[in-house]
Amino acid sequence: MPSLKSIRKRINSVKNTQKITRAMKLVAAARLRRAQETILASRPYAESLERVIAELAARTDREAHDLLAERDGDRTQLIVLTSDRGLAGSFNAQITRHVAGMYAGELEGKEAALRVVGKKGHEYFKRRAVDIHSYDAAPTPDDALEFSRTMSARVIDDFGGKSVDRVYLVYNRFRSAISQDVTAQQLLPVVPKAYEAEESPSDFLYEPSRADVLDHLLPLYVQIQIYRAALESIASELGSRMSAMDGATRNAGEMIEQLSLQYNRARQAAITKELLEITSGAESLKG
Amino acid sequence: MAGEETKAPGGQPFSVQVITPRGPVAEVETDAVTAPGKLGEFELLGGHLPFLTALRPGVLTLGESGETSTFAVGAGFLRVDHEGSVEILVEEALAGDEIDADKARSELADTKEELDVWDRELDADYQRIQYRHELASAQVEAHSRVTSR
Repeated sequence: MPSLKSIRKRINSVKNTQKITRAMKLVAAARLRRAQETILASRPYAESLERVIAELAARTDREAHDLLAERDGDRTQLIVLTSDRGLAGSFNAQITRHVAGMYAGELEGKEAALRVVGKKGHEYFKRRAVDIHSYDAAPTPDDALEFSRTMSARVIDDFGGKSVDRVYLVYNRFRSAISQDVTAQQLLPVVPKAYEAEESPSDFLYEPSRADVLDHLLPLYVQIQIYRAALESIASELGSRMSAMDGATRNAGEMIEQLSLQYNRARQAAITKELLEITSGAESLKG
Repeated sequence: MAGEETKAPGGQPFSVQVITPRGPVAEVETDAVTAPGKLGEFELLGGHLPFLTALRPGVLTLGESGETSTFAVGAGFLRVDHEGSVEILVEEALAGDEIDADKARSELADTKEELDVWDRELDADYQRIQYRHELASAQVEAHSRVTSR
């Protein structure tokens, strides 16, 4: 049976851990709220751009636009969004598992390369036989816009330079704090949303031409997709960490309860033992 | 309804919305908009025909007489719908009076220096620096227009 002192020490250490996990949960919850606000703020921009692109794409020849035209080749690039920090439940594992699944499945035998974002993803992939094209630290809500600018310029460059035929974004889509879905979304060639003709855009004036406007806006469209995916990934990470830390805090509570029980039992045993010693000592003196 | 609007004379107030990925930055009624079109700066008055144009980084001004607000903006588009209201969607928009002019000027000088030493390869990094350069130049210009007013 462990000594009273060692049990007390363990209780204290579990209590300290619990304090940390509770603090991490609260921090994640506060940051999650901010991340969700950023997602909401990006919505009008994304939706409006989507609508205009859909409208333009519906009335032009897709093959005439580099970023819209389907390619025959199947050289693929994946932008994989993970996090820099762990302790976020299965957040990173479900991404790396999904990518590994893609390699074993639809990408089998094809030329594929990764653009890894986040330290956790990099740690996983660098030890495996995959081609890592670039590695970046995971963005924060504040620098996600700058990140999306850089990343979209790079993939558009690769795609425009015909060194890759297809680009996917693989990230955790935020549904709620307890559920995130792994999403593999085609980024390039751009897949415009279906266009609902609410007004006839034929009487619109375009400057320069309709095709030029579309060419001007497609890179922005690619950028906003990356921006939104980055924000979704950040929110998912925080949500996942929040639930993981909530679970850890609860587990620590249970552990403390059990240890306290053990402690009390040990203390009771010690008292009983002492009493026995006193009474048996007294008995023997009576002699 | 739409027909009437498009025939209305200029100078009549119309609603303008400026939207960035970070959220809407302005929603106003104004009588004129000056925007950095891809083919050059242009002024838009009320009662314009339905119109869609590409914007490059530059200075955007809302209003002509009285209350005006100035922004340094990134790439995007300006769209006039059938009702004559204007939607300006830009990748970045910084209010003229909130621009850190010194920072913008040093960014302008830095990016200029980088562009000068570049071996003229039109790759992603070059374009990105070029874009930053244009954005910085727009900020300096927007700031000077605000302060000279």
